[in-house]
Amino acid sequence: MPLNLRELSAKEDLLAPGHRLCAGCTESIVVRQVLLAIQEPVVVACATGCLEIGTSPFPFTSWRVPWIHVAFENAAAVISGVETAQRSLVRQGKLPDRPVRFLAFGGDGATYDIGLQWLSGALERGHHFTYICLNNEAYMNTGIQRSSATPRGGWTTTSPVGKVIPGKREPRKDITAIMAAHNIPYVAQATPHGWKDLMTKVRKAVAVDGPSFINVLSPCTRGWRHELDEGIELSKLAVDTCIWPLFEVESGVWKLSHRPSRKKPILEWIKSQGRFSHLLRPENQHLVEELQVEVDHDWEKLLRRCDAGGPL
Amino acid sequence: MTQTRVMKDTLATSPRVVALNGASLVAEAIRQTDPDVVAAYPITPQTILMEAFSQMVADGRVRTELVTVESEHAAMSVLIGACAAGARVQSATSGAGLAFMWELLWCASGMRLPIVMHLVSRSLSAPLNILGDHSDVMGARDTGWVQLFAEDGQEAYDNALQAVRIAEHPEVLLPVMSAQDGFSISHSVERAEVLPDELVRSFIGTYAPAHSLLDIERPATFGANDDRQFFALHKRQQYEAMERALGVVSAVGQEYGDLTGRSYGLLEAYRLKDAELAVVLMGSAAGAARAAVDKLRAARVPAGLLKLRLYRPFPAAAVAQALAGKRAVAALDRSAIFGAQGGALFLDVCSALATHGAAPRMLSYVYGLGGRDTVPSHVEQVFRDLEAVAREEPALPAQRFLGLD
Amino acid sequence: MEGMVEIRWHGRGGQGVVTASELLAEAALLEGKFFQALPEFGAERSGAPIRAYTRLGPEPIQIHYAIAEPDVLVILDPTLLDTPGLTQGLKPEGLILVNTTASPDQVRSLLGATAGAVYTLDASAIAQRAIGRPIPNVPLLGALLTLLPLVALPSLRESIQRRLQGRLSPAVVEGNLRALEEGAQAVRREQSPHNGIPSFREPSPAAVAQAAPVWSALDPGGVILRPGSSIDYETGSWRSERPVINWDRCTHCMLCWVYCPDSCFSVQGQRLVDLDYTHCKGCGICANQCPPKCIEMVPELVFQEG
Ligand SMILES: Cc1ncc(C[n+]2csc(CCOP(=O)(O)OP(=O)(O)O)c2C)c(N)n1
Repeated sequence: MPLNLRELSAKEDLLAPGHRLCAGCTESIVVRQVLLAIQEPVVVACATGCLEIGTSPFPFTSWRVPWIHVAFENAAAVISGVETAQRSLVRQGKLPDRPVRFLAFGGDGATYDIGLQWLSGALERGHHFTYICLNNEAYMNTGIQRSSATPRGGWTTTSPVGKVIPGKREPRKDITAIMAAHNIPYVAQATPHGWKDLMTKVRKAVAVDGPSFINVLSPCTRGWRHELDEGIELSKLAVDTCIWPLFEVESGVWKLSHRPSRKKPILEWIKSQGRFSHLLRPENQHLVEELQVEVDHDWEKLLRRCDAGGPL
Repeated sequence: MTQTRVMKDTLATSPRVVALNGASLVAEAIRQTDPDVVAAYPITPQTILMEAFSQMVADGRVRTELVTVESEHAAMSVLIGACAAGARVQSATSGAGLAFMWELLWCASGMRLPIVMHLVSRSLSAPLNILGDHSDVMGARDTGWVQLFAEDGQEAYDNALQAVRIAEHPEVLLPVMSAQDGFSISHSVERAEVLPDELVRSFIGTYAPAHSLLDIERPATFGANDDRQFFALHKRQQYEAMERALGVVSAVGQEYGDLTGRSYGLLEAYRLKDAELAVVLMGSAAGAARAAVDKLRAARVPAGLLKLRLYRPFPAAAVAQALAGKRAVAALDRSAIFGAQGGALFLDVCSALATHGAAPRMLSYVYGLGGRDTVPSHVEQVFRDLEAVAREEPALPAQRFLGLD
Repeated sequence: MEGMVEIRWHGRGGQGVVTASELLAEAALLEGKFFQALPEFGAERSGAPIRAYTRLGPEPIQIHYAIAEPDVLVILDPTLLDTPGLTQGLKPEGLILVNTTASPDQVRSLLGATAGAVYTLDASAIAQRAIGRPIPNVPLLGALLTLLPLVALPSLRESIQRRLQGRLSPAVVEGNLRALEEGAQAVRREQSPHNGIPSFREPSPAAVAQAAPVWSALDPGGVILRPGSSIDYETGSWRSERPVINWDRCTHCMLCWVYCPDSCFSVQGQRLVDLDYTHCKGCGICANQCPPKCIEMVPELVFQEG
């Protein structure tokens, strides 16, 4: 099926409404796009977090595909068990051999922090699954605490803005590069705004022979302090400011997916969300400048990696 | 060579008598039950078990997918995923490995997944100590797993096979932990009988779960979250399954006996009927205790032994019945629980007796920590203490330490 | 527990439900009274209906459970008025205070002959004027204290100051204090006045009985065998604004469909045909992203009133 919305709209929505995610949450948008993109049957493992809590309050489930949640840190290990079971049962003739795609969803907390070991282990073992990080840049389920994906300067309840400390002091971890360093066949970054880019990447990810990883920026109205209707818009602004570049690493080859026609200043990003409002105070102006330097540096590094100095 | 070996295993129709250590016997049991997925991580003293099984996989003697994970926590995660996907799954661990799985032990039992785990029990740090005691298994006593204790390699092997049946029984559907003592059993080579593969296969049957993640046409949600309305209901239901395990453990032990001549119940009484003084314990020290009983009986001391095979669910009625009318009872715990009025086994025995209206004098002993040996004279001392309390002599401290008081 | 008053607060995440319950408790502390403020937690996220509880009394309070039979109900969000079971357990002599533009008699006709005397206050408007955001909790507290002298108004002023000072700008703190006074002035009464505070009693077994299937009827392990069953759970009441489609201008580009977090757009034969208001939470992403701008967000109260 071609990646065209009218065609796709004929497909059954595999995430039912009636889930308890916040109004304007982008996590469910990402999940819907991922499930729409995949053409084969899927089995999903989900880490503890907003998505899990919001979509499975007993006796209700929003999932129309087989789904399992076990704990916060181990979604990658759990799905690797499901995938192993499928391989074992098919090989023994106990199950018919049919293509099934195995997915794991985890927030940035589950992925960057507490679950990194389990994810790294599952990637190294080479299971055939796709891990999707719903990166809202903090632990939202427990009420907006910092994670190692929280950007420098960002407010959270555990990196609060105080009299002496202006939000989170450390830069975020580059988990996508860490995943790429596992030398797995496919790694990418995406956003829900770029639905076609995301769905194309999902199709590539599930098709490779081995593990794959997609890091999807997922704006959060509560944690980022933006209006309910701005999630999609912000996921685009993140790309335009080069805070969240779109790229993929296919068999070790880095490729830029999109080059903003005009790289917007970081100040636009900072102004767009309440979590950065303190950075607009005069005494914090140097932080904005430092952040711009950081973004520029990371962007240049990415361009060098992609060897994409010229037009795409 | 591998080929001939498989043929031989398969064709054998009568038990083989072998000289193997406890770890190898359980590895053999895993091979014979041929689980769909095994995930494990090495830790002393379980390591030799995992190595032996890895070799069987490498030699093509099983159809199992072995997942060599990066941690015990991942091992249990893999098994939970695989079991929910309809696979028959097993693991093995020791000490810190079990402790690392702790969070997931609750997930496995709460999700009612019939996972079988072989435990080679070991102490818990600190101080670091790799040797045998029951700290690990007793620490997991409230996690909702059925727990079996073996006295020797033969029992560890027999329990390993029965564990599959108990776990998967539709009335139970709970994970089962089958423990043997680290080193003293896992590493000691003894005579044992190994069943023919065919017999094991027909004894354990096939596994057909009601729901599976790989049942694509009937998508099920596993591991949902409960509000205050439902959580208690699910736990209430889990309680009931644990209670039903009592009957299932007996029935499976009986059936196993009919097949092999080695019947198993919930517990084993030794010269207990007419005893007035009784010792209760689990695991490899039972032999030393029997020797002590024999010696004391010869000296006309009315001593008897109660060895528990099943610890969870606690067979309270059977324990109370076995100890009815005794004048003094000592429970021997091979683990320390701090701040309680006695060891874990002791407390369970006390509550079983109290709820069944029996009131013998009770003593609690901790023994064998971190690989300390327990010899008949230690147990004899327990009986001497019991004699004293039975004679209403000045009370001993509630908590005693075998060989250390 | 003679003289204890039990208050149940109903609102949505973000409206200051929990804060209101706590501000009252803190004011009681200043007066040397006994109190308890207890939020109710669930799987719901912001926008979903939530509850909180406050108990106030002259003696130490030893009970710790949700309030099943309240003396007072405070409804922070008018869109909750048609929620089933909203007034459940309210004592016959109890009191209902609602943030709404409607009159008490209009609210009464909406709630039907449920227990309690009804009072109303346009708390959102007061807050909007005073602090620039329609957070109704503080004006409602002002109104509540005129109806029932649970604590003195100055104590509540102080609890507000203590909590907000240093965290919010002086202007916002001042604004909240003005909103408190204004709420106290502007509360509207029903034609027939209510008859004072009922006395405390333990909840009846019927009030705390939790309707639930028996445990033995559940599938083992909490597995859910009805895929997509959340469709039976309506989230439409979370909404304060409703997307309305101008079908004449719709190009059926499907962007609203692919960007909807709640799968609310129905499609037939590659054309948008309907919008599922039983689940739409009113986030407005569809309106924001619609290229021809043919989706308009209309306040829900417009529909409730007419
Ligand atoms: C072992 C463990 N530690 C902590 C928690 C509490 N906890 C649950 S979800 C969560 C944060 C989730 O954050 P993230 O992974 O970023 O997902 P989000 O909710 O933001 O989508 C935390 C801290 C837990 N469930 N388990």
